[in-house]
Amino acid sequence: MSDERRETGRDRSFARILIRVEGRVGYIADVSDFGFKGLFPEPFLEPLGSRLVVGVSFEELGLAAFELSTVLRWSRLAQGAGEVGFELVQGSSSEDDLVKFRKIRDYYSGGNLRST
Amino acid sequence: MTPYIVYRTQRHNSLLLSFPPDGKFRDIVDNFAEIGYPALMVNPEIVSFALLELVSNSIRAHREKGVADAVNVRISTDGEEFHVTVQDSGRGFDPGLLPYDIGAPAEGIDVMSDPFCSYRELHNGSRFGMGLYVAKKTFPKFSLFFVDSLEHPCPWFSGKVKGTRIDLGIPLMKGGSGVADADEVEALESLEEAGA
Repeated sequence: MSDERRETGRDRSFARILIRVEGRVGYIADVSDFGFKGLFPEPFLEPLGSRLVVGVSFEELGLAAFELSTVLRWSRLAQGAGEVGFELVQGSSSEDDLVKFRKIRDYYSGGNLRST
Repeated sequence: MTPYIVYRTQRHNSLLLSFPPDGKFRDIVDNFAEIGYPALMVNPEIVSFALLELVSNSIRAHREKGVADAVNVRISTDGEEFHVTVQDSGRGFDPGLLPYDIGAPAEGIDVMSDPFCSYRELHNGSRFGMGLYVAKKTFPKFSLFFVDSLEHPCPWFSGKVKGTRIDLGIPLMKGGSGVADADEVEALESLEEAGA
């Protein structure tokens, strides 16, 4: 395994996600300004382009649970797990919920760190 | 090649990680990101998330009970399996308060069942009840028991519980090299899909 793959293959974020309608639980494995990578213990079979409301919990950061409106942009099977790219739908999530999402992004990007 | 664990560029057959309850959660996440697992037949990120859940549960118990001891995670490999032991001094918990039967197979647990929904409501949605469930789902070998001050197993109702110990095991990939290689796993998955 190359060092490059080892570096890029390890994400440094953690928050819990719940997709109620589909009954799926997983984790936020990587956060960006526009969305996040979700990781699920099983393959994720929803069709690309699906709009999904994702519940997010990050109790360790002191955040109350919140929901984000997303579109499924990509998915793949990775050693039995489902890796999924969620893009935030502009204008569909409340500002309060987006603020919470940004707190998670900032927490893992090194900005606005707080003790938990 | 003998399987091994990599942690901060060093090879190990056994490794003890200790997490003080007053530490930053971000530091725990970073610690797990530094682990290179031996070649497992399970996604290593899911393994890390499952372990993070267990450590987070234990840290919360230590904080709630005012316990200053560290939560210990020992990971090891014997060439056949990858083993993990998570041990805390958080005084245990009532298994009857979980939204599922801890002894039931993970495959039969419905995370959208009424008990799970009630559990989330009870905690104002801040807890999903996923921690032990994901660990059970990820690790084929899963055992949880409570220990007394002499580290002897004891039942929850004994009144002697000092903490919780969780033993986990997962087989190593046959013929795998020292640490997990995504190309190697993808190649095996392709062979399996092709019916080889």
